[in-house]
Amino acid sequence: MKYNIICSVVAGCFIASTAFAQEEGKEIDYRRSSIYSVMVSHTDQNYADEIKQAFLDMEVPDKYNDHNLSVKVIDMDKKLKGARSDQENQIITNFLNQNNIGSRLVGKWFNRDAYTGQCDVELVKERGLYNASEFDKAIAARSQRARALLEDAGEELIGNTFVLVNDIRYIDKAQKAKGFATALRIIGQVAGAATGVNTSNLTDNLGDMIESIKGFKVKINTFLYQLEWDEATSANFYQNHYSDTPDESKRKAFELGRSNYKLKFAGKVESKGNTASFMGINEDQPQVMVLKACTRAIDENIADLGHEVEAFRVRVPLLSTEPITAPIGMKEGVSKNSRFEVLEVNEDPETGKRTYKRAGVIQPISSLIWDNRFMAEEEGAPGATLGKTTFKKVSGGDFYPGMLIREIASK
Amino acid sequence: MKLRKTLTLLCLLGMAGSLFAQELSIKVNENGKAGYVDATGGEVVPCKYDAAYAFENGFGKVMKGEKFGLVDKSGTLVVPVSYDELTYDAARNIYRVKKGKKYGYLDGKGNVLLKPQYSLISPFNRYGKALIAMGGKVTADNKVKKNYLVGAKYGVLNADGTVAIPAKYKGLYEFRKIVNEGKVGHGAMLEKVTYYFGDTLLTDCKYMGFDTRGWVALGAGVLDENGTIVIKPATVSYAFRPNAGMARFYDYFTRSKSFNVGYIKLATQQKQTFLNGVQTDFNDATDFMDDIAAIAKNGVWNIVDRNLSIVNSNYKYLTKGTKCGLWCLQTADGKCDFFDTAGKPVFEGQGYAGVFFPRSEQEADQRYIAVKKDNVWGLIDRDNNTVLPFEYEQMTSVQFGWIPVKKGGKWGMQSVDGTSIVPTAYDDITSAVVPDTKAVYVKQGSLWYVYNIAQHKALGSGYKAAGRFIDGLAWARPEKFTVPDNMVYRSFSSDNSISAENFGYIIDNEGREIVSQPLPIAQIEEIRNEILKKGIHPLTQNETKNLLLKISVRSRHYDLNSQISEENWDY
Repeated sequence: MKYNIICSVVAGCFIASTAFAQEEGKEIDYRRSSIYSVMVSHTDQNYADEIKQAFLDMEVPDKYNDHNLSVKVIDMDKKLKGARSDQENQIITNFLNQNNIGSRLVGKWFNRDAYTGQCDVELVKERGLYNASEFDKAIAARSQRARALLEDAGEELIGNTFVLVNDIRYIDKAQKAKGFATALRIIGQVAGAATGVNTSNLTDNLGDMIESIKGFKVKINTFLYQLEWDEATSANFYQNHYSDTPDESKRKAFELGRSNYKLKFAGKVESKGNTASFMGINEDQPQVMVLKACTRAIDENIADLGHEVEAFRVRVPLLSTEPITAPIGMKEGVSKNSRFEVLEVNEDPETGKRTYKRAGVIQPISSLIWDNRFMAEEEGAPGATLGKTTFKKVSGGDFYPGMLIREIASK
Repeated sequence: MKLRKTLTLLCLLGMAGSLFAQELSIKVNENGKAGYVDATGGEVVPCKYDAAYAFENGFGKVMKGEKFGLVDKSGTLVVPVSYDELTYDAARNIYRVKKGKKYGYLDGKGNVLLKPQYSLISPFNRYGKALIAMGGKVTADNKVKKNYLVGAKYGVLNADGTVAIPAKYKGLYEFRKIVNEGKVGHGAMLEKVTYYFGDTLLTDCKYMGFDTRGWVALGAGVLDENGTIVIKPATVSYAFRPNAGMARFYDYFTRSKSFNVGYIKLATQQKQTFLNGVQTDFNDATDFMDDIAAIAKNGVWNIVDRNLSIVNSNYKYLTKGTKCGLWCLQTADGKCDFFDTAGKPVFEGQGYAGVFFPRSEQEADQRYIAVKKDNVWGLIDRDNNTVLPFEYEQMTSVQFGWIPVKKGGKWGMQSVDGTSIVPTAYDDITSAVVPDTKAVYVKQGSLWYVYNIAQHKALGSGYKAAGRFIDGLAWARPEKFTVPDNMVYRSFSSDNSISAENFGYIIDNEGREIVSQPLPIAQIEEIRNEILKKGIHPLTQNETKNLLLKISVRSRHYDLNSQISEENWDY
């Protein structure tokens, strides 16, 4: 008997330690806002094509869901009137309204087939219906719980769909770089003679590019719009426009009712227009310089909009609590003066509805702020390789990994 | 007594398991300082660090200021808190460290294995080699969004941390530029590349090029894997990767823009020129394979030995099996002589007058050679046994165990085991392009059809032109085919024009049309990836429209004051 008990205790030690190890590997789910980003391209300017290509090369920031539509670039052959004002820009609002952007964002949420009117909720499930298996059961049982789960997700997900209209203009600060270009030509000729390959044309082009491109920077005005998704809008959609099978009458009703899905102007920011540091950057690669300038400016605007518009503010989960770390950094506007609230998530077991309650406040450690801005690592920027920002507790109780943090507005 | 011993042992094992499984836990005190405690909560490592990380490999990583060190389970600081970076490589049981801007390695116990004096240490490649560098300035290359060094000196590190080639060469080059792939002149040349942080070496580093300049591989010398010079710099213009102790070389003369061609014997550094003052595409000589090489001179191929003495001559054509280790030299009247890599004749007296060596690099294919004898073709193996009888009008190469054959004026496909894959009933046939392919194309009249191997028949519609199947999908263009003239389709061309030749449908290997609307052929890879995301199935009208819009997004733009028509919107 004693023998058996001791063996059990020994076995228990191993089992307990394994369970501890498994708990640490659990993935963290959290709902992100969704964005559709479009640019106003100024065809009257130099490098309009390069700026357009850089914009199309930009990835959706990892703290947001990609809700892009099939139109990404709209042209203007002159300056946008009123671009620098903080107010809503009527030209942009008119474009969004006359092209029924609100309805298209809703159509994308429900994967709407334009030819048959058929919809599904797979994207909603993928982006934030955590109880997906519960939902499937509820759908099968045709219970009210399915609708409640969907509406909860809808409120937090569909209602947090945003449009960013980025008005991008190039600012010309050309400087000469003849010495470097000349050196390239000489090297090119020597290499060409040795290999039998004529590189002189190539180095001529490089020289010209260097002379004209050095000192590139952009100014970006970003206008933020939010999809209106209130109870009346969602009720109208589910009753009159949603069908999980082809339905010609609902398809037509949606087409005729597109203007019911509205966007509201939420805010506007202008980038500081700092010349992004090109420290150590090869001058013979202008396209990458364009990409860096545009990406840094748009990231800066997104961070600023997050400060201004609470619904647009980024929430991320804590990675660890000893030390307190989170995958957020300078790209999201984190600075030594930032303050973040730590949020406890509570889920109503009946409805599945989630609410958030502040559990504490934390502040970044200034020497441990992650510089995750675009190409910070290539620049050799301090903090670029940290991979996360480390915080210290300002107030509150116990934290645990997976709790969300959100910046507290300082304005 | 025996029971008591057993119980004691079990307890010790259990305790050892517990200790092994439960490393010291991190504790953070009220001042925010971190340390470690044991299972009873007793402090083992005082809370004096800014951060402490979970134990790994029996050590806990601690941080003070922005420096890192290691403590063991007894609380001893075995690695001082002096490194700017300290990362454990579990696969090799070593720690990669950085001090200031210098990298080095500690062994699994925390002892210095490679002093941090290197400005770069690359990840190890699959051959267990890493690039090391000393000195240089970190510079950003924004085209590829990576950093590299300017002005550094390079060497090679072995997987056990020993230095294979000391970091003293401004120019260190790999034999990574493959020329004349699949042709007789196939070989590897030195290539100057920029090594970015994070890149690995590509080769086994058995031989490396080197010089003091570092900006071009022309005229570089060659080191062996121990760093010994086997060819001095400026000995030749271009050295090919040595093989069998011999290195093919080409010397370039700028005034006459001509080349000398020959070989260097590594053991003696003796340089022997075989051709003088020629124009070349590096396809007029082979690397040495064991004891022989072949060089073309005045339109004739010659077999030479290690002294460059001609052992056989007068051949009009040379065909070399890529991996099967055989050469075929053909005289002007079509007679074939075969040699193995030692220069020994094979298939002597067989009277073969045509050959197709295997085209793939698959090991299993290398046994089979298609040969012509008395105006008919058959398939033999390396031992000259007949695999497929000499009864075919034409054959081509074995590819993944199958070979196209022609009989009675019609093409089909045979397996090397004699099974008929496609009957000889078609005007033409394509080879298998991947192992276990599900379909090939057969031609009837002027159109190509998908021949499904499993169903033993040609399926679906005929197409005027088609691409090869990759991952079960291919583009295909029917005879009668028009492309809609609208903004979306015009956007695929830089001059806004539409040419039907640039578009096709998408079919699967059962001949089904997965997309029955024109899509741009130039973007077939992107289209295929999009279709595979949701599984191969005939796309609906809506799915096709959204696919078209997705792949054209980069080329479409609209006026800010316009109402954009529905064909341009996905939702």
